[in-house]
Formats: sequence, structure tokens, C-alpha cells
Amino acid sequence: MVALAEALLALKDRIGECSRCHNLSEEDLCEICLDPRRDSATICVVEKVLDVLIFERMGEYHGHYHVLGGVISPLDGITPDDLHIADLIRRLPEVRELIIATPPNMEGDTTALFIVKQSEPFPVKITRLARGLPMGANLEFTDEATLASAYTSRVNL
Amino acid sequence: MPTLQSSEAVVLKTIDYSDTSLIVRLFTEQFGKVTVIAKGARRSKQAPAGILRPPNHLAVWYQHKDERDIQTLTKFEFVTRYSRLSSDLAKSAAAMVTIEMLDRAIHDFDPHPILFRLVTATLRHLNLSEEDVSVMLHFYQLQLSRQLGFAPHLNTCMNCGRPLSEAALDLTTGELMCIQCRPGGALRLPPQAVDYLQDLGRIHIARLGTVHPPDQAKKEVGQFLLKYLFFHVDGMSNMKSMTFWQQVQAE
Repeated sequence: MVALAEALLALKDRIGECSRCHNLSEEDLCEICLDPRRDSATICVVEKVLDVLIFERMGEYHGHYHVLGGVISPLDGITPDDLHIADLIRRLPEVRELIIATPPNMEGDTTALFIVKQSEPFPVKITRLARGLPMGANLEFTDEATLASAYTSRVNL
Repeated sequence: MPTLQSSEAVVLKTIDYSDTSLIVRLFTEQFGKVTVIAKGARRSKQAPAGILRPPNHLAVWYQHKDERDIQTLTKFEFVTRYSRLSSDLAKSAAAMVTIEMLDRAIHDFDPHPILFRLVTATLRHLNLSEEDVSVMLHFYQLQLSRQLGFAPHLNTCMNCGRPLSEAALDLTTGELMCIQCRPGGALRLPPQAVDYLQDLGRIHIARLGTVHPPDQAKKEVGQFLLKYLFFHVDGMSNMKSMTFWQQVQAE
């Protein structure tokens, strides 16, 4: 029990935020930012640290991340100044592609649009995760919002 | 004994509750502001939590018990999807102002069907129209003050009754006065701003596209409406949505 408590205390003391991407880190920069095999010119912008873990579990993405620490939600008291958006903009001169992976709701979309607006002075390609039907989904059980989104984002075959 | 209630509603605020549920504040057409719990709404195989987000316009069904502060939502579906709000930064910021002002201005279980129609018409207009978003927001703010019972007198001075051409907001009474009666008014409205305000007061929302005020008049009227609402409605200060709207406008 004591060992567990000590381990938790040590965890609290040692774990902080990466000074570049705001992912969890034991050092000034996190393992992902320090990994020379990863593409530092591609940044995936996520709402929270958990989203980094989810992307890493996918195994398809080999770029860097930027954790915003939330999304713009004035109704919850969160404005751009409360997020790590200014830090993201400071990284843009070194960036080729920005992949915005904020959640597909009004707050996530607003955050994405705000970042796009702030990124205008930089020649960076900006993409957004596609949205629509989940793998194996049955149309019969799909809600209208998701179906409408999938319809709007339909692709050529 | 619970009773099943149904109404159209606009979602004002959503808060995650446990791993599976949501607490949702609604402005219902029939019953005013009502808070409900949507049990299981966050579970992936249920109807998605995305529907229960501001500023969606829904039809809702809930179990009402008088002794409860939070009612139980049993069913919900879209009435209107404001899908274009999310693809325009100014529109989404204005929609957030619309919702936060409404939430702060109304009280629980105080139905106001006309205000409900104003809000849904404003959101629908914001969603579909390509007109000036500032003008739409100013129209909403002016009509909101009217529906709450303290519309400004736009045509005559509150003190002497003379027709208003140039005006000033008197911060001791919160009323518009002519320059002769309030020469040192804290906020002066030049003739073009007064004209714009008077246009907003007499026009129907469907004809907002015909109003094209100069930028300076828009700025002055925006400041006036904000100060006017702050003066007359408790809790209107420090609105984060307004801070964001102003930030978006300044970009």
C-alpha cells in the first residue's frame, strides 16, 4: 500500500507537459518530439492527451502532435486564450501539414476554423479528419447527423 | 407521479455526467428553461451525444416530477440541423453569443414561446443566410431586449420626447436620450448609428438583407446594445462568447 502511494507521488512529481506539444512527458520534450524517425513537419492537432494515445494505438500516423488542452467553448468559459493555440501557431514556420483532429461538433469545428484563420500567414497544408459512418455500420441504425455528414463528405469511387 | 412532457427545445448547455450520461440544459418552447439528464447518451451504441449539443433545435420528451430539479429525458430528435454554422467562424461565434445571452436572460420553468421563436428564427437565419452576421446579431440583441420587456425607445428622447437623430446612452437610467438632454452621455450614437438602430427596430428578420449600415455605425450600435443589455439584464457581464465574438471580428 505504501509502495503504491509512493509510486503515485513519484508519478505526480515526474510527469509534466512536453514544452513543445503539451503531451505528457517526464522530460522537457516528450518521447514523440524527441524521436528522429518521426516526421516533425506534420502535426496532428488534438483536443487532449488521451487522443494522442488513441492515434498511437492506430499505428498509421508517424508525425508529431499538438495537444490543445481543450476546444473553444465559450459556453463553458473556454476561449482561444485558454488553449495552446498560440504555441501551435509558433510551430507553423517549421510545418508542412497540419492535421486537425478536433471532435466533430460545433466546438471542435469552431476550434478548427479558428486555427485555419490563425494559420493564414503560413504556407501550410491544413487537413481535417473525415467524418461519417463507422466501419461495419448499418444505415438503419445511423442517426441523421452522422448520415448527413457522411453524405456531405462522400468520395468518388 | 411523473408525467410525460414533450416540447420543441433549443440546447443551451451540455455537461458530461459519469461515463455514460449527459446533463442538458434546454430552452423548451412549452415550459421554458428545463434541465434534464440523458441517461446513456454518451454510450456509443445509443443516439449520439452530438445531437444534444448547443445550439441544436430538437423535439424532446421527458419525464417530469415536480420535486426534481433535473428531469429525465426519454427521447429526442432533430427539428432543425444548423449544419452550416459549423463551417463559418463568424456564424458559429454569433450562435454562441445568441445561446449564452438567452441562457443568462431567462429563468427556469418560465415559458416564453415568442422568445423561443425569436431564437430559432435567428439561428435558422444565421445558418442559411449569407447576410452580414453582425447585423443578424444586433437584430437578435435588440429583439431580445424587447421580448424581455425593456426595449429601448429608439425614436424619441426619453427625457424631453423630441425625435432622436443623434443620441446618447444615459448610464444612470440606461435609456437613450437626445444630445441636448444628455450632452455628456457615456456612449454617443451619431445619426448614422441611430438610423441603423431604428432600421433594426422596425424590420422583419426576413428583410435583414436590405440593411447595409456603415462599418462605424455597426461598431457603435454593437457597443450600445452590449452596454444596454448589461445595464438591464442581470448576469450579462463577462460573457465568454462575446469575448470570442469580438476576437473573431477583430481578426
